Amino acid sequence: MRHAFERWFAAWGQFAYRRAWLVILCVLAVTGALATQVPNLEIDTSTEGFLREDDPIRVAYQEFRRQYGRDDMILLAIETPRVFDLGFLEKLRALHQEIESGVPKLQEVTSLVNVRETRGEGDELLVRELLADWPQTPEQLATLEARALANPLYRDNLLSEDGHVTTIVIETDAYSSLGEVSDASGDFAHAESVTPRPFITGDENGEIVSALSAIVERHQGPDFQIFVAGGPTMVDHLSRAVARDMQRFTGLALLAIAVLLFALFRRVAAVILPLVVVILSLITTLALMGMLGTPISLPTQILPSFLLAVGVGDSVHVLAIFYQRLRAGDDKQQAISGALAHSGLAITVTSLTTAGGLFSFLTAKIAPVADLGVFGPVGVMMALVFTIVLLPSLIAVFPMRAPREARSTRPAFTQRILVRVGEFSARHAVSVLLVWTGITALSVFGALQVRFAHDPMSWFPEDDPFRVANEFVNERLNGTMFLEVVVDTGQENGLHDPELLRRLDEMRRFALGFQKGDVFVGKTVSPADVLKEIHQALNENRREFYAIPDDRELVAQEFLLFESAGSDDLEKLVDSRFSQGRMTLKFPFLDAIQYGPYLDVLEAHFRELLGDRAQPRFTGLLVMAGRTIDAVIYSMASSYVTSFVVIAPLMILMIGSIRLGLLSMLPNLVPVIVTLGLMGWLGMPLDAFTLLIGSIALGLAVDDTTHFLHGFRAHFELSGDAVAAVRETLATTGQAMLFTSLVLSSGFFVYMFASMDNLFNFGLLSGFTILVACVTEIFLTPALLTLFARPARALGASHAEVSR
Amino acid sequence: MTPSGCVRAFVAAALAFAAASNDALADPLTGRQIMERVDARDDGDRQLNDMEMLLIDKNGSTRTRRIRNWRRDVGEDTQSILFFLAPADVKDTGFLTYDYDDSNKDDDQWLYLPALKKTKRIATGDKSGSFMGSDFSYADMTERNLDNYDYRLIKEDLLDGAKVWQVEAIPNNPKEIDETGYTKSIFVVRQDNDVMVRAVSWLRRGGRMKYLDVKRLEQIDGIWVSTEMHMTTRKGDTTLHKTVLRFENVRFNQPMDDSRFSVRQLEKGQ
Repeated sequence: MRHAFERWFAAWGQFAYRRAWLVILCVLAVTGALATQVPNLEIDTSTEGFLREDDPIRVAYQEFRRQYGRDDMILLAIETPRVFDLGFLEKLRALHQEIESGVPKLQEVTSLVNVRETRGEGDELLVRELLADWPQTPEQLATLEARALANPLYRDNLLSEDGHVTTIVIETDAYSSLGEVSDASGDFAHAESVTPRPFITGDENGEIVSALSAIVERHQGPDFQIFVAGGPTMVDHLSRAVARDMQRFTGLALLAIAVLLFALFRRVAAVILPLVVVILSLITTLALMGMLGTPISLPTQILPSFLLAVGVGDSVHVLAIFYQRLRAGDDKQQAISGALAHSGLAITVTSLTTAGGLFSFLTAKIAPVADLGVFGPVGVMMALVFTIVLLPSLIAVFPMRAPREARSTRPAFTQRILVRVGEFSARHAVSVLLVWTGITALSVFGALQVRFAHDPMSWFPEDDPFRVANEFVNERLNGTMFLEVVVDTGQENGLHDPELLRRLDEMRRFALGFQKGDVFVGKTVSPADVLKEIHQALNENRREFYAIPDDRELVAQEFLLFESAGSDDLEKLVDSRFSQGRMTLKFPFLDAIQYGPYLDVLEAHFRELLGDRAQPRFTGLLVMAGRTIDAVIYSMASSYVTSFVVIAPLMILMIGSIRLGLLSMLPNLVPVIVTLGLMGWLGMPLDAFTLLIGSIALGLAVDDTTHFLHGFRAHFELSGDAVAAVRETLATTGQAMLFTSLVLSSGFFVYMFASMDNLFNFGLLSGFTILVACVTEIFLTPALLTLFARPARALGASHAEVSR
Repeated sequence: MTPSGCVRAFVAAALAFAAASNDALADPLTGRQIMERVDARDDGDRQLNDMEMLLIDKNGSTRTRRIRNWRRDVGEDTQSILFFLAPADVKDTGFLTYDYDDSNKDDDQWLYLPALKKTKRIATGDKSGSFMGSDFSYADMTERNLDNYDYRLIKEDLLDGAKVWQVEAIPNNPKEIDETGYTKSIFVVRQDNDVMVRAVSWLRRGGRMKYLDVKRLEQIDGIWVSTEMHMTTRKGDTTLHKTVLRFENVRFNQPMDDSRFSVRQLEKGQ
């Protein structure tokens, strides 16, 4: 069977060499056609983008947004010595008006300039804008200030408690307007139709944020310091970082690969040809993503540079043999067909195991991680196919210098070190094994302390303007994270029930008084608050009437009054049948893992308070973030297990022995455990990024094992001497193993140049894992093989089996 | 701001002398002239009617309100009083409105909540707010002052077999935009009876648009009355909300004196 593969690869090598231009043209035509799809790639960094589209929590959230609109607002917080100052208010009005006229896709802009005030004055009820009569005198300003500061609906929303910070709250469209027909002529036919639109796109969000930033820039001043915070700006900020970083990673990865390739082969062809192969395979993969509408996301932004680093390994193994053969006197055609015959199967198996590691992400609940599970394997297999298909033809047409003599002593020096380490490991197998057991034990202990996290704010450097703005708002206005609780009575006018409204008010009281760790509720808004406001206004503004009325009919009439008095604020708080109401709770922005225990208590308490009067449904960004944590944990567990379940059988199949196959997994599991241990000891969290390391590293690390066992088995069969076999193996393939490990780890280390800290961690840790895997391959695998490999019986027999 | 203005302007029953409207028109009228004709129609006086209001949200679920409404003209001003008949829990809730022709004078409005047994004067900032929770605004329910707009005849057209004018109206001062919330409207006016049968309005807020469609037009006591109107609020191609307004038992020239439009009457109920 093995020989059949070898014959096939050799024959293909001959063909591709003879018909080089035909092959090249075909490949270029296909890639060129696909490349037109690359510009369709979009970037999605939204909070909900972390969850799969069919995730029930995400579905519920979308449902909520359809009813109540986008819940993540852009918040401009403006700090000034005194808000109720004529000069300041005029500046605020100018900014407000410019935003209204200059920012696209606005749903609503709210600030002190246009906020509604419901107030009783004598027998008069006023429902109007707070600043409907623009103040002229200091006395008027003072009265306004007193009223505004006393209004519970403004506090921590439009006005900080100390009166130094005011905000402009910008609600943008929840839906995309792409492809929408503007209806200037007034076509009534479709005034009847109802077509649900897709949610707003990243590009549209970007337009909003750009337009806003330009306006903010113009209004920024010493006594008018504007901080821009809120979900939409974070999403845009992340998208820009992704776009910028991805280019940077790709460039750096290409550079690192080029340098390493040249260091290894000292030939121009050996730099250019592998790069052409991996770049073309990368374009194909990205084109497929574009075609299938899978966006680039925070985790998948690693894909381009990752695929370059992984894919180049295939070419390296083929070229290594190719140059060996050239030096041995083969011509180019013989050399390439021989190299393919020799390495074709090996690189196919290593590609399969790498793809298998990535494939395990398919089971993830984090949507972009699941995307990696599709396009990771696709990219890896593309690199394999392009290497086999294109590399021989490229070699045929690329002018090459005559082969040089075997190289100087320098490479042999690294080779000698490798051999010596391997020999040491083989000779002192038991001691080596004990050392590794110790390291692993320490790591397991560390790994047990690893905490899970999903804290987007911590991804930004501390001095990042966006992070600064968010922390400012977080502190001065009691939070920037929102929980939405939909209280559903299931019956029309259910919200007219005074008892239910009192319970809502009780929920508010409980939430405001409950703190757990760093988690607390900074502010709440519900229909009960609006009702209390009307009730008070109808009763000459007396404090004691800031309460829920006792009478069901009065509740109904007060709500009717509110609707009829020209305010549409209720739209955001109740559905039109008054069967469900929305309570919004504001939290400080924290690591999402902290919210879980708090929400459990809150939900239990809310359920108890509501009894069978209504069902509370928890949703909003906070629940989405919390769900992301669960998804991270689940995704990690499932991908670890799946990658093992996929890769171990591949190894068993390749080695032909269950015992050795499983044994060969050990040196590849140890690096993952060591990294997890390191994370535990250093306090680095497992999040949507670092969870990737385990399966990726496992899939890559077994490549070295594959090559090692490939060589070891051949030598061991001949001599029956494990130590000698280790020596021989490392002398021949050791350098290639070291080299591919260096390429891969530098491919990961480039993420340390990211603008965001989460990717820095990912790059550092995954690069580290690959290096550890290289060490275990040289220092642990020999010991294991010496102790457990049984010459004639196990290995010999299994080899015969595979060869058959 | 008068709910009783329902019978007027572009929302309420648009009225005209049936006889006066059939003149063959030799010269094309200007937009302004057309709107003057609409404005000049007799919309009747001392009117009593019932109103059924269907509020339909974006999920298609419907709430129904029933209202009884009295209206009379006092010089150029309009007075109206209305009471809710249904749903039961808001029954007898009443609104009394004096709508002044002088645009510098704020309208007077009182409301009575039976459960509170109190009458309150209401002051609201503008007319762009919703009328009784519907898609109609107070501005839709009252006449617009022609001088606040620049009109332009867009074209003549056919609608359901009737000849119509399409007239564009753009407010010529920012105060009017503030008050009504509209930045532009297009009216469709029947040439045979000067009734406005359709209107599209652009809202300043949130890129929304409102579509008025008169679905039923009846002649009552010689006066044209739009007895069923649909108002749809849309954003782009998505319907946000819709109101169906049906007028029943429309009667003109009913006996009604000053006391009918008084706070006492409001508190007494219909």
